[in-house]
Amino acid sequence: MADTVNKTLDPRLNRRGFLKGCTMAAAALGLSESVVPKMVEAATSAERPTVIWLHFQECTGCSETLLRGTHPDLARLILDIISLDYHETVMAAAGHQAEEALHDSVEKNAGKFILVVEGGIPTAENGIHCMIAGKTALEILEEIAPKAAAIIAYGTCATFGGVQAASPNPTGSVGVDKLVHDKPIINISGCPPNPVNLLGTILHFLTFNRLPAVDGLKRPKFAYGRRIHDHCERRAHFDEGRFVEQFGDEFHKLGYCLYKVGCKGPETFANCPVARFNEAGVWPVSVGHGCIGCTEPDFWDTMTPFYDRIPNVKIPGAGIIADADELGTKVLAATGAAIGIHAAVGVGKRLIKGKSDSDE
Amino acid sequence: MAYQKKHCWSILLRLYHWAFALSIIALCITGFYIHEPWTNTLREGSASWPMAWMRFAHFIAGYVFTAAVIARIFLYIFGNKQERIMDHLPVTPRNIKNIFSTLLLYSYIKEGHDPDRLGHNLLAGMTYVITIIAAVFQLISGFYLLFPELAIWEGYGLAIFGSQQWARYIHHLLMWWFMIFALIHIYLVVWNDVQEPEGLVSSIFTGKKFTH
Amino acid sequence: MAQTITIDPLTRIEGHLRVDVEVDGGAVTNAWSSGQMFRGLENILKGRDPRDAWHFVQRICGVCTTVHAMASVRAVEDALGLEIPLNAQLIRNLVQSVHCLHDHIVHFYALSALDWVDVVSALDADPVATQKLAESLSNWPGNSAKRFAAVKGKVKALVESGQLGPFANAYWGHAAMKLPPEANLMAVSHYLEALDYQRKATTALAVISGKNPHVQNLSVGGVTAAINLDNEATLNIERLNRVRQLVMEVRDFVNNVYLVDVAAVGALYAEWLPYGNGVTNYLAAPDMPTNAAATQFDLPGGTIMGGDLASVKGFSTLSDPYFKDNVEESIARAWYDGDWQKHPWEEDTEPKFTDFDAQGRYTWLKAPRFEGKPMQVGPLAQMLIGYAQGHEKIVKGVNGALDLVSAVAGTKVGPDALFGTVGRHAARAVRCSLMADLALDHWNMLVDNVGKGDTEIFNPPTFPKGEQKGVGVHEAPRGILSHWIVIQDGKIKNYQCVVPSTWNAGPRDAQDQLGPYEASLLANPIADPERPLEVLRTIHSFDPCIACAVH
Ligand code: HEM
Ligand code: HEM
Ligand code: NFV
Ligand code: SF4
Ligand code: SF4
Ligand code: F3S
Ligand SMILES: [Mg+2]
Repeated sequence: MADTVNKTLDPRLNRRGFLKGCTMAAAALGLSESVVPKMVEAATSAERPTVIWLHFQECTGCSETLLRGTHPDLARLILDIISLDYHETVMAAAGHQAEEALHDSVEKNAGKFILVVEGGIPTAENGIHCMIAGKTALEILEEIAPKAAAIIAYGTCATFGGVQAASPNPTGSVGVDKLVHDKPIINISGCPPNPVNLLGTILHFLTFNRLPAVDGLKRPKFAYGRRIHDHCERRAHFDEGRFVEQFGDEFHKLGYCLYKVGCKGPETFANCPVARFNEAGVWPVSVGHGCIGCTEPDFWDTMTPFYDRIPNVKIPGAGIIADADELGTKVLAATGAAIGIHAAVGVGKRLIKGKSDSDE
Repeated sequence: MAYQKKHCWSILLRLYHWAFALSIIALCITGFYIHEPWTNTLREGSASWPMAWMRFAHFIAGYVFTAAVIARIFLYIFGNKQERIMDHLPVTPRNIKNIFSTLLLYSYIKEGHDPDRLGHNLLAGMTYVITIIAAVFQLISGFYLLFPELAIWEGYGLAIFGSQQWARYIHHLLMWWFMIFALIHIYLVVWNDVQEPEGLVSSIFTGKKFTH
Repeated sequence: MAQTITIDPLTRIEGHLRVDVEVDGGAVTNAWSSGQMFRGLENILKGRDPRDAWHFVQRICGVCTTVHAMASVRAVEDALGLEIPLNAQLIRNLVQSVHCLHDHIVHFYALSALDWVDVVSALDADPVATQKLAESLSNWPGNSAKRFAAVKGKVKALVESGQLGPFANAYWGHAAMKLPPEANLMAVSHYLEALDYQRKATTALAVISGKNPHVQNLSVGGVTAAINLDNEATLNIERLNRVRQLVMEVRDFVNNVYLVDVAAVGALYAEWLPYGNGVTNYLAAPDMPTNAAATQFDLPGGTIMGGDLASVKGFSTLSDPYFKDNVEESIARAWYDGDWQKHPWEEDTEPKFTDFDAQGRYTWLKAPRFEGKPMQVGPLAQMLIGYAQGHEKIVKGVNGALDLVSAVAGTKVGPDALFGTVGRHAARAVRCSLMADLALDHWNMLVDNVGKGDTEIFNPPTFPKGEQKGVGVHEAPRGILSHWIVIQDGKIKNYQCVVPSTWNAGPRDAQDQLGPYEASLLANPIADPERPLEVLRTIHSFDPCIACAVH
């Protein structure tokens, strides 16, 4: 089985070129070069590189995507490509045995393993909203992250806090990069993300011996480089002004653009329309529902209401949440009314005073 | 008292004003269409591209708007006395005094403009400054929406607005500011002209005001 | 002398579960089940648009993805009195049944098989003997000596690599592991094959729902998959056939492999049949409606009290008052502010953490009660209720499974053998097989209805001023799920989820009645307190989902 690994590691890359790649990746991520030798070691060793997967505040939807992955599929991934030393949902051991497996692997592979984080990290009340083996998620991250070679934050929870961070964020949940600042972090957002994006990132690392290029939100460009809208099959309908007005209407049945029923494709970066999901050749727009922007930070607040284009306006203090355009129209109307009153007062005054300014 | 004709606004300011005003009208209409396209092409293959055209018009108007804003910022620094930013901010006793006299004027308590002011009154001036600041945000968000993949716009956009959706949201809310501003502005310009016929409305065409 | 063991994290489940057991004389004498993670979704929903709620609550769980979505749209529709088109019901039923295939298969193979199967022992198996064993059970084409040899090679290479990955530190060679090497090898082979078949189910699900986990084809008022047989971007015959083909393939696997493996494991572990009964009050929801008004169902719902099949009582609709009026949740032993037992519409969720205290509060889970009693929910509950009601397909399925177990074990076993740990697995497998059939039935109904020219999928909701209350009931893979909503002037005023795993994993209440997990552990044998494999067996048999349970 170790063969696959050797094949996967591209022998064409010589050590100098490879080191350069790592240094560039490290520099791009604002890291000291000290991590580079470790990254090299991890990627070129004959052993399957160790992956440690931590679950915090999450729904396991992100882990579930691994079951749906096809290139590679889960069996090949964990038997041939990586050594998944800790993953609470799939590992055989429990309790003390699980804890031991984690700590053995972290010690043995210190500085070399890839840490995958799934889920947000609650920070309110010292993090007591998520505990594993008596420790808070915060403590666990603080303990394990410094020993990793690189961190992959997988899913919108781990990248941006996710659903539990939606207003009013009752547990103070945040993503990994709010807490860890001195490690390369790749954000693979999505709720859940397409597994091809995780597998692609891992294989990019193992094949080219460097982390993929990322955008300003640390998301790999091969997967999050462009807006959904730019690759959407319904884009022609958008440009030609053909829109679904309501689910089930005649336009919906013709496959028109979902913009008016709330599609957030124009403001969402992801490869959904290109990579598609579950080997079924589909993605949300294929089944007549708009994109809800699940790869974007704070999408639970900024993309809602999901069936409108623009978020509601939260009026601070008043606790009122109002539709932006309704509010705008009201303010405009109130302004018009105020102008009317102001003008009326002026006219009234003039009528009373008579033609007082005629002397000029 | 005899009227005096005084030069007040440079050609560049007047050009800027109309480029700004007209582009904003175009941007509000096309922007609102982009937000909520009110047409639906009922007949396929009708060779009409309403959304594509509206967006195209929006972007052209956006460039005009951007040029206007740049011209205005130039004039804030290098324009004539009335055009410089110092004349619009409450930083001199004269300017601060003008705030109160303008408030009295607008509430029908006092009559007549401050005789020593040729340019905007302070309330107007400050509102214009705020509007230009809003315009700067509007154009950065606009270009971030237009070119999100370009490093420069991605950089500014992310730093200022965060996600695309935030940019779009702010972009959209600012549209309401421009519409409300335009309404008040046109009313007050006309009102002032009626109150004291110094030829205010025509000043933005001719650059000349009449004072006494 | 009694000894307390803490298992934290309890792995191979969804979520963060801690289980404490008191062991005395080689058996469990007391138990506590504790959920360790809280997110506050019920609070996050307040003030939001009811049409959006399903997207949020679907993220309660990515394992039973779809189910909270379904309960949520139903809750809003119930509050509005909004009926959805028949096509929408049937498409939702396809989502439910096809997802269930995936969920049940993954649960048995990926999440619980390792409790019963010793992977390392498979190294001693003879592939040819394994083929003989497998052929005696079913004629599944994957059961060849060649494949078994390849799988054995794979296991060998893994062990020799010294990098056991997720299989490190497991319970290999544990005294409670009883399967012969050949059965172990067969199971490992099926474990790997199951990965392919669960994936087929997810592909079928995606064709209808856009993607999964977290489907994106629902809406309050129906579904969003427009139907147009003459368009390439809609639900058309090509897509429908893709679903059917995949479901048929998965059904073959379920009937020839999953069902058979469960029966075999059950029979070979016959000594486990008495363990793990616990709470024998059962509760299930009717589901898979066959008409637009949702008054007829293909899955039975109701209650059984005290393990007495004759006590069965049914629910006739999704908001049957017998269900709606009798549900309460207690927070007496949970980390919330207050000390009450309330109807969900009246509840709140105010977190107040006070550390683990076995005598006091010890979990984030609330304790749901029906007529004041703890209830066990899940496939077992539903199969027993259907069996007791004489539900034709369920009687046939259950009897078939019992015959299989009887044949392998060599003694006749009856339905009461199902009450425990092994029975929960068997009931799940039977339900899985039933769901495969129902998926095809409902596929046919959908195609028939579309063939008649009906392409309706959506009735638009309108939100009147004032207050409306609704409940959305759904039979999830882990049991009855209910979402309770209060809408005020078109915004969510209160939202409460009472979830299958909350029913099962919930703590004691003010009367000190144990929850089903806790009760089922009592009297479980523990061979080695350092390696409490038997606790895992019983807990896993419920298919725990703690993200669901707390939310
Ligand atoms: C019928 C249309 C309009 C007329 C007659 C008009 C007239 C004027 C006049 C007379 C001034 C100078 C006012 C003063 O001294 O305070 C002015 C300034 C200004 N107007 Fe308008 N305006 C019109 C439309 C608009 C519109 C639609 C906008 C933009 C929404 C606009 C933006 C401005 C701005 C920003 C200034 C300040 C110029 C500066 O930066 O110094 N105007 N306009
Ligand atoms: C007063 C100035 C402007 C106004 C009132 C305005 C208004 C709007 C509005 C209302 C939208 C629709 C947003 C939504 O979905 O709700 C929009 C979109 C947009 N605007 Fe502007 N805009 C202005 C200036 C600009 C400028 C300077 C640019 C830069 C070129 C720009 C570029 C865009 C782009 C790229 C979009 C998105 C179009 C799309 O996604 O299809 N806008 N604008
Ligand atoms: N509802 C729900 Fe659940 C639970 N419990 C369901 O099957 O798993 Ni995540
Ligand atoms: S990102 Fe979404 S799918 Fe992933 S754990 Fe969070 S809620 Fe679940
Ligand atoms: S469906 Fe969405 S992503 Fe596709 S063109 Fe329309 S708005 Fe853009
Ligand atoms: S909702 Fe998410 S899955 Fe893709 S289409 Fe939109 S980013
Ligand atoms: Mg609840």
